[in-house]
Amino acid sequence: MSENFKIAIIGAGPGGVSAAARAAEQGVSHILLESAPHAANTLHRYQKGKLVMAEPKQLPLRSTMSFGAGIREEILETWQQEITKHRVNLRTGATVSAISGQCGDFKITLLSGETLTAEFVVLAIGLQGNIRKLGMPGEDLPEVQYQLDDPNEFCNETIVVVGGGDAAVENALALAGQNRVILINRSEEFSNCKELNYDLLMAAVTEGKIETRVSTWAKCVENSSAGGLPISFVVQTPQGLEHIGCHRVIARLGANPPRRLVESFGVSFPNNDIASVPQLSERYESNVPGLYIVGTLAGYPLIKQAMNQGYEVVEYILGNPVEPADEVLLREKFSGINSIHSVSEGMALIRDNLPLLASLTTLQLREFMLDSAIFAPPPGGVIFKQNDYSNSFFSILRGKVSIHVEGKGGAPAIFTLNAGDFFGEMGLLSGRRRSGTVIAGEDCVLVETPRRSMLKLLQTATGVQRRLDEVSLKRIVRNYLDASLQESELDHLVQESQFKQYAVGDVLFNEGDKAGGLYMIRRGSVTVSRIIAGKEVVLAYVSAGNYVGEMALVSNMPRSATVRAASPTEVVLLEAERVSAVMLRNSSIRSKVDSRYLERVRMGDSALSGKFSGLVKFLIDQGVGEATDILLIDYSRCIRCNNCEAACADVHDGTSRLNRAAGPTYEQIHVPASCRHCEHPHCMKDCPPDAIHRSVNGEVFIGDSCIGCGNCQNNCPYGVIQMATRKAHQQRSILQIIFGTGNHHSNAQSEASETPAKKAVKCDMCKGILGLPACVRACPTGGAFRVSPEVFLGYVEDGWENMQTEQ
Amino acid sequence: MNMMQHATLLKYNNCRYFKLSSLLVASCIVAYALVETAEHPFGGTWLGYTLGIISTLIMFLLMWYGVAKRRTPKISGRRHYHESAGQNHNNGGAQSGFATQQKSERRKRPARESWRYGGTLQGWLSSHVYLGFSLLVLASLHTGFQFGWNIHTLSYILMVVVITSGFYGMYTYLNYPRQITQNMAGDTLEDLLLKIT
Repeated sequence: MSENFKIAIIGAGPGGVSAAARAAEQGVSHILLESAPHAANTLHRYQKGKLVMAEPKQLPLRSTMSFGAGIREEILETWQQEITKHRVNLRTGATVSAISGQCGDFKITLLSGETLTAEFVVLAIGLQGNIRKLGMPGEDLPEVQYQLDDPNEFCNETIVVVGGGDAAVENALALAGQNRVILINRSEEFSNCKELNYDLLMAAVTEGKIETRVSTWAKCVENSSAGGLPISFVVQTPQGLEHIGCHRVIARLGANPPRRLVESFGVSFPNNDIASVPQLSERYESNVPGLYIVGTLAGYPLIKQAMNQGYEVVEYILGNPVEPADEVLLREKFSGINSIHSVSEGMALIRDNLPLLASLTTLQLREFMLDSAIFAPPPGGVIFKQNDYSNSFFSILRGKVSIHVEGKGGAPAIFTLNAGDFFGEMGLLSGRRRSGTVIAGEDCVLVETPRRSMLKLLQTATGVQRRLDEVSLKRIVRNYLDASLQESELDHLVQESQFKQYAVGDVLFNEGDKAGGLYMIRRGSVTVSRIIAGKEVVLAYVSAGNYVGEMALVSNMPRSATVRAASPTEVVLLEAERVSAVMLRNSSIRSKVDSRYLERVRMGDSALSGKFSGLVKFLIDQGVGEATDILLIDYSRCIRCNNCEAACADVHDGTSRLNRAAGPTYEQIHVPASCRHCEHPHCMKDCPPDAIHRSVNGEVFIGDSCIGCGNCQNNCPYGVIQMATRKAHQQRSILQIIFGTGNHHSNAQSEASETPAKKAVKCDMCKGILGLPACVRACPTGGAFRVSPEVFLGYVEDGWENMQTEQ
Repeated sequence: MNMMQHATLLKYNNCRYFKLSSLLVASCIVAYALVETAEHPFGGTWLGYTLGIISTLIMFLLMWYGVAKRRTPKISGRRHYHESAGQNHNNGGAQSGFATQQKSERRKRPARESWRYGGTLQGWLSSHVYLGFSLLVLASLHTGFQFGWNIHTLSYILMVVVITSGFYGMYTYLNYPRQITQNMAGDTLEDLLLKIT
């Protein structure tokens, strides 16, 4: 006979613990199942003494459990006490393998084979997933562990580390100093880990600090008394079986992402995107009635959000109407608008007036509004200007706005958008400057949504994505080709057009291909190249907001050049016949495309030296294609004084955000390790408190709400983000400089490593400081300069050649 | 691209400091040639004093290069109206540029560096080179070409030595970076050290 509970809560993270505590407080029979040996396992795995943040600050906490920003140990201890105090029915080491049945009678099967039943299930398992075990005899021996908390715990031991990823390599490196370490990898090379880790590993192997066994499969772990070592790890090497006597085995094999498990419970996801979250009702109920989902898995990655939801979900299950904890925040948002008196009234107005959002659930809409701002600009107020670098998204709730687009050389075109329309999607999608100026009309009410919330919405709500695509398509065509184009012509053009996506290096079309259509680049950038004397020579770099493919269209000849994606690129492909037909009917578009064609022909004619092409290729390979503003150093000028770094540290709290010597050099152009302010910043991808933003002038910066999680550091492919303490740094006074005293930035750094609360720091292009960025200002020889990809070609063509002849 | 960045330190800002120094040197030579003083021992005449004072001021300016190099001026300013975007987000609000825009007039990043923000170090160095060179002429005029075994001549010689060392410095600044890149061939210092050991 299996045990029966009213509520079974799976996952003892912040959300699960909070739900269980509330259930216990309400006297409801419940069970909290946790696969790890203790509650709050993720928090346990934080490094010792880590400061845990409590973002978002203004969201009130509503939970039976207490929580506030503090040191990891203190929070864990408090929670432990409270779990005991509230008599939470916690069962650790219980991994759920299956859930079946329906509301009122769920059957939960554990990995141990045990089953229990519950009326309601709350899934709070987060996204960490279950750690992969060795999957062989002996995998659960006490000497076999799947995590390493403190490498200093072990010394003078023989330790086998299993795995070829970063976790395994990092563990092996950390243990290598004071232990004999043997690293076991199934594949032949350590190609899965970061370059830095790979280099460190190779160095350690050369120095004999780490032994490795590659192409080696683990067989089993046995207790053995041989040689005084407690266990023996049996592996299959290419040479045959080997028994490795050791003190302990540390296996770092990653985790099984929970999605498949969740799907096996019957929960459906809106699409196959990795980032998509299950569709939930406003009461956190999934498509399986009685199965509730809270926390990270539901799309709420912060501790406080999860705890509030844990509390609320129990109340909902018990049938108690509770006002969500965020109701206060929403009320505040609507308070600025006179005609909206209550939250429900406001939400209804949004639902009725914004067709784009019609497909959203109430929960999604609330989430959307929590992230958004609602405001009534005065008539004539400028919402944003053309060429601004902002990327939020606007919906018109009431009134109208006018959009002024200054064409390239043409007269400005003006459009009007009415209530129910939206704008700002082009900047959002392309990551580039705004393509027009937007001015508010009479009695206008707008909803402004930040980039991240909008992208999240597009990923999770396919209905919104589809609608946005439909409208934005015509706008793209109008904007890129000809602003004065008739609506009917637009309709004709976009019919049978396709969205296409390309990864870096993918070919859009090849030289000599049959002409196929016009490619409007909506996101990313491409290079145009041609084979000259058997070598691929780059002719041009074309960025989002432009089109390629018109040459073959105008000349009716095969493709004259190869076009390749220089960064992840999205295009809208217009059909050739339709474009030709529209061009025949409209002389203005014809002349525009023609002049573009002539420009390209001229460009192709100007003979390009191999050096220029090589440099462009080098820069594109370095990922400069997706940059908006990058620091380059002309090494024929650079005296290697590192004054750029010193100046950077001087104006940024003693920590330099650039590493001059790191990074590759081609001929005399050096790309130092420094932020490039990417069009679609990789660092923004997974920032729990949404602390990374782009300012109107284009600087990507990390705000004060950073919780120091290090995600951005891991996500940045260019390694330009570091974790450091942000503290008031006194610049040296003039007297101190003259007499050579006072704190130099090196002091500040050594102090930094001792303080626990580290936050992410990166180049902010000296935002908020007047004058050029400090690195450029502080270069004595003018070797350091910042460019955007559109202009580096100009620099390469003129400046580079000049420099060759100078001196 | 800012044209400024194309120029080497000698041609910085359209050879601004070359022109300035040339003008200074020329006017001092003209003054020396035209002005007739009663007595010959030159440093003590009013023109001699004037040249000496100008030279001293230039020397202080040259010495200030050392300070400019070690200190990057940090003058905060509202270059952006989105300044508080990060903070706004703490409140769960959108990055409403609009609201804050009304408060502060928007100002674009200055297209050029201005002396008001501390100038560029390249500008400082360019002026250092040309003003240092002009000092050779100015100080020589100040001496009235009266040399002898005295403390005045010694300090003059020392000054000439210092300025000459500057010429060597300029030569290295202009020529060695390119050679360093070629010799290192993409290696870092650590790589080279590893190769040696």
